[in-house]
Amino acid sequence: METYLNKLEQIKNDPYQFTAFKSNISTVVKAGPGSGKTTVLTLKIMRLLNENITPPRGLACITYNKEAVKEFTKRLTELGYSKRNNVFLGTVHAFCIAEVISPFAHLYDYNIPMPLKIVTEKQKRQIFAKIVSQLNYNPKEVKINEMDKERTLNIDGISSIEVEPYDIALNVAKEYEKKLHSMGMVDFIDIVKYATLLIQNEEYVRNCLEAKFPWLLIDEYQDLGKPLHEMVLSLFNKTNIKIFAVGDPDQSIYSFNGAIPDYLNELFNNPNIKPVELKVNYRSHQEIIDASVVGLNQLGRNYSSGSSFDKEAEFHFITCEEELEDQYQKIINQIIPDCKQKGIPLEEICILFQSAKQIRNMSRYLNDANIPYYVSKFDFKRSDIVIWLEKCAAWTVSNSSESFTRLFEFWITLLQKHSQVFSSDELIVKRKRLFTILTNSTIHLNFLNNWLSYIIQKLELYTILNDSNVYPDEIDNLKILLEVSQDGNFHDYDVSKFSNLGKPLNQITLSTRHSAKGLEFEVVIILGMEKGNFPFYLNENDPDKLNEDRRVFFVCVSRAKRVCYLLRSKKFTKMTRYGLKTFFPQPSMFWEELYQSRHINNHILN
Amino acid sequence: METPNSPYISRVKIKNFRNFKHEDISLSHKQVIIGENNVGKTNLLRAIQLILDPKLSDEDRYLNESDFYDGLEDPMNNGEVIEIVIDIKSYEHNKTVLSMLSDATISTNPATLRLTYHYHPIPNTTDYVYTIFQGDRPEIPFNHSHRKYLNFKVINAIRDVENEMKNTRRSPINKLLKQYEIEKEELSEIAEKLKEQSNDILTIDELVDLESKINNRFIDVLGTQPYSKISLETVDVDPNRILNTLKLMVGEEKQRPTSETSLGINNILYISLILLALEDKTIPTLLKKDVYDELIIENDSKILADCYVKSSKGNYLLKEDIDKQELSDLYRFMDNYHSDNEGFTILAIEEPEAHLHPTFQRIIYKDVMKNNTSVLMTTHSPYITSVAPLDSIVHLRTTIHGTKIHTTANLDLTPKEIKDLERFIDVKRGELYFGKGVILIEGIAEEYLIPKFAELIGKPLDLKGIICCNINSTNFKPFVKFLDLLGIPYVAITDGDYYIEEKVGENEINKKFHIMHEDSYSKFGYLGNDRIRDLLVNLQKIEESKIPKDHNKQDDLFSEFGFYIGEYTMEIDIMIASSGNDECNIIICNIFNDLTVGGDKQKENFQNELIDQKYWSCLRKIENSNNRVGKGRFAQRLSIDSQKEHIPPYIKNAIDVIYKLVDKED
Repeated sequence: METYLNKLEQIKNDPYQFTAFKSNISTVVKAGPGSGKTTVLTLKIMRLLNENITPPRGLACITYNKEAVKEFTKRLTELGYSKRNNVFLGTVHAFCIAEVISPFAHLYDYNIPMPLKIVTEKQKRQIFAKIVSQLNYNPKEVKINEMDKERTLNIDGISSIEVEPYDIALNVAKEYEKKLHSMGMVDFIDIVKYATLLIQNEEYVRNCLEAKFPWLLIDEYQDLGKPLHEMVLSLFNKTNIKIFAVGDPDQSIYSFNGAIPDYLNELFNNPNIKPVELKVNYRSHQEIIDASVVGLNQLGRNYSSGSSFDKEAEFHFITCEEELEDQYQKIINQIIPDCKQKGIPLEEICILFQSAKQIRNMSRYLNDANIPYYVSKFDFKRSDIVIWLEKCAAWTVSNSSESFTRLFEFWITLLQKHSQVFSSDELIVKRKRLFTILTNSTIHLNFLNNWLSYIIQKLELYTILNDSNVYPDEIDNLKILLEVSQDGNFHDYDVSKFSNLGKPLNQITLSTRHSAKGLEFEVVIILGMEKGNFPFYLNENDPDKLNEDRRVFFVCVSRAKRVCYLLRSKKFTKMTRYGLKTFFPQPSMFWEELYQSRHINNHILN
Repeated sequence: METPNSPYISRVKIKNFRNFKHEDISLSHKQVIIGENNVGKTNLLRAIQLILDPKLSDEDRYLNESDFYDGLEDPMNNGEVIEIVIDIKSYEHNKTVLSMLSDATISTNPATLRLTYHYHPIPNTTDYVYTIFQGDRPEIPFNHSHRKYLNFKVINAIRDVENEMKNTRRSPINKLLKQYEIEKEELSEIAEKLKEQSNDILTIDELVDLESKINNRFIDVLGTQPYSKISLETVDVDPNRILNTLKLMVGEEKQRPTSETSLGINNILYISLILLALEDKTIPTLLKKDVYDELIIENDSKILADCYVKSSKGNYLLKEDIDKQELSDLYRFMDNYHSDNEGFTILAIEEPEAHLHPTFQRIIYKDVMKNNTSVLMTTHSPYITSVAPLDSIVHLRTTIHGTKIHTTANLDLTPKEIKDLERFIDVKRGELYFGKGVILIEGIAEEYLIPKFAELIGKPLDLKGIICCNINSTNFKPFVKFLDLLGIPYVAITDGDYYIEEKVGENEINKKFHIMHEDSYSKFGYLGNDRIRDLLVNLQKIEESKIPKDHNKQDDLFSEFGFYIGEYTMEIDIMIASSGNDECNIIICNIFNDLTVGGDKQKENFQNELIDQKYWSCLRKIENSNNRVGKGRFAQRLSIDSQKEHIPPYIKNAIDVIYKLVDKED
């Protein structure tokens, strides 16, 4: 309660945040980088639950990725949230399954295979490849995510946003869905599409959702594709559910998934929805904010900094001689020592790469140089089960850091999802057993691999997940996790470190540009700032794709609180079909634009 | 006020529980449960309680060996399972229920919820556990958190109403008060004033004297201690408890507290208060100012201003004359933005007639029926059953296969048929429901004679609880349908109404009645057979094509369905049965002679005609209004003097069969 009141005082000072917080009608919040959107969102949830919505009704807060769910759930707990009926906090997929498909699909005839059996990723790739060859397409013409994107676009609804279809991908998509459904299986896109259909067509389903959730809150709206946008529009237009959507169109960088900024903008421009823009950036130095907006090349981005810094903002334009390797060396030999000298801790430094492959290369250099680092992208997926294991780890390390009741709830739901049914007596037995296993696992606290092996074996996770309808890829995923903890990046991890996954500890962070969203660092180092590399040369003449690369660059720069490094090399040698060839690329257009804007302001430091 | 009907139990399925082997019944919004003592009415309610009653403890939901169906041998060692399933309808207008129980949906057209209680052994053991789950999804439990919003309350047959009303926790009046959320400040202010006012009484010298006397005495006994100070107070002025001091007073001139009023009045008061407390309060009759101000900012709040007027204290009162459309809009608005979130209670009242005069029995019954709350009541009162709507009957009967439950919720009759049947049941005080077997007859004459005939053949009807039901020449159809639904065995006795067909002109055929059969007649028929044939075909008991032409074969076939048809009319059939039996003929003649106002000549003619088998002439004399005899009087007298030999064979058969049917059930 105290935290709640403190935070409340805090946002009262920001008229934009406070307007969004107080709003009693459907509201869209455009929230730029560092604008405190999660604070507003979580405070709003608390206010709605405590003041507006009487039990047993509740609300749903959904978002695209699991880490964001973990984040807002954690924040809500800090604000004093305790579990209550009909409050759904989770991913859109979990929402579609738990609140739409499981309770209602069997009442209607939509040919939804029940119980839901989710295709494994491997099977999905096989079906896709087979269909591409059956239709006589060149595998280079169509990628699996292009097909998936067409599938998401291929849904009817109210939105007036048009997206040019890619007919080859669309053809593959149709055949793929036919094949998949004939095998009695679905994938995650199907789940969202089916749920959307049920909501669009069935009044009873909408009534039930309205009864449970008078408010629907959506975080990171810009990451939602068309089906979810249509779901939201349908709920908004056909029920009394109030919408609270938060997002930043400028940070929409998942167009390969079918997410485009236009959906959020459409909602923002709806005359029946209250638009609010959060314009104060509490993260970055004003000059960083100004610089990040330059790359965006858009009007009307008047963010002002809400934080004060003792030091000046810094921009470093560093030109290296040859290949990315020189950029890596530069970081190790010059930039990191410089930062250390200036007293910047390692966890405040982030290097942004174009690809995971580059991260792997860099990590070799860092190993050699003995610089500790943290990779925010793992070889395994942070699935529901892995996140649960992280929480179990946290509880095992310190019982007060997690609620055992919640750990048990997930566990029993997992068992129930795998068609086990329990009486109240059996529940107690299961509860005791989980308690015992976790308590006994403390003997393995020092060595993550031993702990994981112990837990997985004692809980019989492989048996439970064998041929799982809901988590078809989970056994493979757990095996990768075990490998990583044995020989990979986590080989020296203890359980405590695992429980703090996602938080670098005296390590520099390595991330791809795309997975940098939501992170923040004192210093951000952006590699590969050559023309042709960033923006990608194929995107330069396609306005939509170029704009998406601009948004990626915006996301990269806006991760920095104060210091931004841009690196490029003068010379690259590549294998082409005419043999080895040497290129001398110009600087990236983003580099040029930023450089010029800095130059005009006469603040260049180097 | 009209708000949508509250949720009700539309179906109950019971397997292996107490009296019930396997019952599956449909119910409607209001139900009257009828059945003799010990037939299992309370067990039926108990089955529902296992799922829905929040007052039952966890322990109560663990059953015993004795809770299994009596016909099961060693049920718990044989792993038998008790299953109770209830379906709920008419809930979808309410968001509170929807939000808690949408997982239990099994159909959306009509919207239906299902809850299941399952008492079963833990695999590989003989230990039993229960589960209660929603819909068809055993993994989704139904528990106390859901029961808070949809539950079942039983007012027991044995109830101490006076005590219930006094109990501060359970009293319905306190529950009603709580629903208002009266502000504490307002109360403490009043409490303060009350105290000031009432303290005056304590200044009376007598009371001052008394108080000091008590105190002195007390200190003598206890010595001075923290709690030896005794003082007189008038009312409990603690604002938290001041509302509990409110008392219901009954009577206009001479008010009495409920503890001094009659048990009957208290019962009515108690049940009405409970019904009031259970009403759907989605639309509040009083809105506090601050609540109103909060609601008025909602988008579609125009309806508020239309439906509420400001009171002198600044709060808002619901207007009296709100039309249906406004009311349903207001309900939707409140359900969405305000909603009391109290949920719903389905009420069961055991024997509401307890302690009540017949008039009051009807009054309380009518009050219950017009309420929005779904009610199940058990009753033995003919005053209640006789006015209960036909489709509200739940009828329990003991059979060798346990108690069978029949309900009339799905009764399919035309409005006219319903009216006829309802009038009949009202006039007869609902005796139809209490018969173990029924003989359907068509007139007053049968009503006198058939019980007597049964007695004569050693099968008195009363002994077996068989009743004669006179449908007064109306249609058998609604009665048959109704009895079929109730599962009460019945036979029907009807006249044969012999006729011959005569050609009138070219194509027209005329039916000629009141004529005795002669072998020379080739074209003849029985109107009775024709009617029963049409009835059985209409009821889809027989396919038309399967009915034989031959009348005797028809009689055999129809009797399989309980229909016994005479030749002519009962009187003639009696005369035929008695033919050649002098003693019987003399009895008939004597009765006629006693009753007629006609002269000796007429009496002589009657006798001769009887002997000559000119029965229609005899009957005409009985029926002739100049003679002042009449079929009714004749039958009444005959019922006193009649002999076994008077009984026509079809009537004897009917009595034999109904006796057998009733015996079979026991």
